[in-house]
Amino acid sequence: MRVPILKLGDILLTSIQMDLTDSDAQQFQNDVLHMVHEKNAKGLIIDITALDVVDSYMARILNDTAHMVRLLGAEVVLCGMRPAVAITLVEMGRELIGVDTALNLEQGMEKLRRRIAGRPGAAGG
Amino acid sequence: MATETSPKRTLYEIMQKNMPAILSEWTNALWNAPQSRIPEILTETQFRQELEKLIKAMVDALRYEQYEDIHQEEFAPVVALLHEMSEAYARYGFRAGEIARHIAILRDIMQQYLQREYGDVSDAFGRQLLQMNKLMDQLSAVVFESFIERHERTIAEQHRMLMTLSTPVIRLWDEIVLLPLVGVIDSQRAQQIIEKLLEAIVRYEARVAILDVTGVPVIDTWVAQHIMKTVTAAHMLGAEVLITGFSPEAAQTLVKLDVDFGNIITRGTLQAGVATAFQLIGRQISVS
Repeated sequence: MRVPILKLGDILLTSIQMDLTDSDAQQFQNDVLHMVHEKNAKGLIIDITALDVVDSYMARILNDTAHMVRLLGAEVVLCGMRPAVAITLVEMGRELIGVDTALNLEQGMEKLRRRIAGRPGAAGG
Repeated sequence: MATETSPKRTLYEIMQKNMPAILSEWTNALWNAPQSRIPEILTETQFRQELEKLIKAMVDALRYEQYEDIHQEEFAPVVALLHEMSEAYARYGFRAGEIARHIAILRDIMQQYLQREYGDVSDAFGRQLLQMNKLMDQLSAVVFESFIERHERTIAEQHRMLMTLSTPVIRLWDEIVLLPLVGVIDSQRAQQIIEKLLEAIVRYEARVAILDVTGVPVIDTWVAQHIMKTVTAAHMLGAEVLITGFSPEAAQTLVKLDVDFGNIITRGTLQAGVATAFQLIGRQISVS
């Protein structure tokens, strides 16, 4: 199953709706990176509202993807994490370090726009 | 001659035959005991009826002449009655010993009747006595168990109550929640704090959470670690967490213990924390 990635102006929006197998997750990472590169996106939102479980592999994929996307020059906001997921990740010691997070899509979008606006040279472009 | 060959009566037969006498002796002994508090909660008739129910149930159970183990089916009504009685007395603030006295006195009376029947200290008498004592010991145990059970239940209830009382979540403003922590933080409470905070963040769509630790008497490495976990989890939901109210002692301990609070925003007082929280959501407090 492939996770759809939607383009919204210079922002990409993707929502993971079901538990991904390890290979699906890998595929997701590839797709996102290629899409960001191809569309020259300035920002990416990953919505995980629908995920009840985030295992340590998935957590790593999310973390890595965010860092990779940032290397490609786009900002990333992860939104919609469930409290239970957050607790589990903290208990596992698998915090998503360095990833920007937001409660829901609305706040995530706002945060992302602020980030993009705050980038050097943003005023000019 | 006939008396010599006829077998002596068993405990059951003695009880059966002398039930009214035993009952009234038993009632009187307990009712008139010095410092008895029973007259405060029951009339003499009520009390008598209660004991009568119990003694009838006992005689019924003894009929099987098997009184080694009161966990047997035959004794279930006796145990249930005794349990019920203990519960009722406990509600009036009676101590376990006061109820156990019921059994102790009954034992004395039964022993007298047994002695009168046998009139000697033969083996048969010894056997009956031993059995009776075993039975009465177990009945006393039932009384004590009922009390302990009740106390344990009370403690559990109070613990639950304390848990709900101890971690309120206050919606301070749109997008700001406040968690004032009061009292010692143990592992169960730590878990509850993290759950409550995250729940509140989601429910109120909070961007800022203030964790006020003014009321926490001891902040050691373990508590600090838990605060860190809570903050990290809240971060993952996209909320900023402010910690307010560290005491000078806590600050000293944390630095000496080498606990790294990294990039967490801390403020000395709740007041300063609230001001910062407003700034974070793009508002400010103006004094008019």
